[in-house]
Amino acid sequence: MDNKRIVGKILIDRNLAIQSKGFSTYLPLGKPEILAEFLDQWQVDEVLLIDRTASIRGEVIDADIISTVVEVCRSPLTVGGGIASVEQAEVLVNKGADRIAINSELHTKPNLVTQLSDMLGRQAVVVSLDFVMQGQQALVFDHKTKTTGQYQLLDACKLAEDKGAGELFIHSVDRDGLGTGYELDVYQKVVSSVAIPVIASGGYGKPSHVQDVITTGVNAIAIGNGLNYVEHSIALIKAYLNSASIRKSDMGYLAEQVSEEGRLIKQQDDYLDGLKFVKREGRWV
Amino acid sequence: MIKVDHVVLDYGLGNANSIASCLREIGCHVIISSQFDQLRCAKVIYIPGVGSFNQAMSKLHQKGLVEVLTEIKDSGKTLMVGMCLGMQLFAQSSDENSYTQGLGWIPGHVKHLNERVNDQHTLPHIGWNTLSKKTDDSLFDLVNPLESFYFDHSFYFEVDDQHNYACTHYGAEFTAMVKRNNVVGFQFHPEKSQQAGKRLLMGLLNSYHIDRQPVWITNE
Repeated sequence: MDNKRIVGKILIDRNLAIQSKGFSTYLPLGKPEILAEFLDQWQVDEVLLIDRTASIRGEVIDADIISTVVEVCRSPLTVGGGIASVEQAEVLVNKGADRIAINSELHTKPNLVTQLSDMLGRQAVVVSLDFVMQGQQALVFDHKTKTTGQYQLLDACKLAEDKGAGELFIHSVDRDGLGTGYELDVYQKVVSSVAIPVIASGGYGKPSHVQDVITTGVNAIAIGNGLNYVEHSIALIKAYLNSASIRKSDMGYLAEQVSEEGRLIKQQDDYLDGLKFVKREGRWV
Repeated sequence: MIKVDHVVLDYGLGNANSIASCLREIGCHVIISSQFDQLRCAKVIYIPGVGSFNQAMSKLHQKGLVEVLTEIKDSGKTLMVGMCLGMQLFAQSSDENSYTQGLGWIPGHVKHLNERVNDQHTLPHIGWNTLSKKTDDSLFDLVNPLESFYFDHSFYFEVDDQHNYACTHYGAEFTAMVKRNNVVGFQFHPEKSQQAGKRLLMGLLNSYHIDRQPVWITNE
């Protein structure tokens, strides 16, 4: 079976979860562990926890946050933010991270990726790249200086693969937080130029966007803002897609109960009245 | 000294913390330790693993754990549970990074997935996948056959059919679970597989008649 993953993104600034729009506007969301707990209960396939400002501050993502998140989150956890050495990565793995994400260090310290994959195994190393479109070209965006570097996205992807990355997380800065759909052409090109799995990120607005980006051959689809404002969001998206290549959620939603926007459609009143006296068999928790 | 039935091995590599918090959720009293006396009186030892095979073996050797763990396993009274890399360590050897000898508890070798999986599937194998049982064992009692588990690996354990308890399919079929007497290993991460993982671990403990409730045995 070739299961695509729906990845829930939690962006944090120190210990506060935030929502990002175009890498310039940020809104506070609350405690990261509460977001993680909900995503886990709603059967997300993986949680991605990134400290946006860690590398700018010259620090590493706080290991205590990982411990608190792991207490409540039984889903796989990928962690990133300012990781600059193997020792720092080992501490985070010990606290409960399953995978480590590296961003700007790919260009400043390319050998770090190799060292991490020798120590933790290739499958535990994710290289995260942000890109902006300039005409037809996708260029790597440096979030520290907020400028577009000289690197072509595809070159950076190949560099990451050669250095030992196990997966690529490719995020569109232009579409970040806009909800207008994914940058399909770019993912198509990335997927055909590397042999490792790819996570598409940036642009989720409604479930059909996931359907579109799956066709490019990516292995996982990351969603950030889109998950935080709808109850049971992940389960509803999975129900709407009702796709054989996505792990089913057992929360009992049917495709026809979910609207195009990924929200639950209100049932007819007489149907709801009938539900009052239905006895639900309890599931073991 | 306080003695605890469930011990997660701390050998400096691996997500001991997430295994411990998962076990606490299903009602186990658990500690993370690498102290020999605590390991010797445990009823279950969980061997975590997020790392590479050669690094893990060298850390086990450094801490003198290879002999102690083998002695505990040979006594037959303690259940040894390996997860992901922890399970691969049970093999005789692995090709990861360089040829390395393993604990050798279950005959077989760890090989790269690209020897089995065809080009249409990207490697490493990361994601949720279902199991196909090779044997009927009571440890599967609480698991629904359609449920999937979280896999995250580049290597697989090539093992004899008699020790192969479950397989998974990703481009090719390979081992997902091994068992030999008191040694059980999972290629996937039950501690990261939400409800399905928790139920599988409960089924495992039930099938070995190991109490999950907090049991405190005091010595002296």
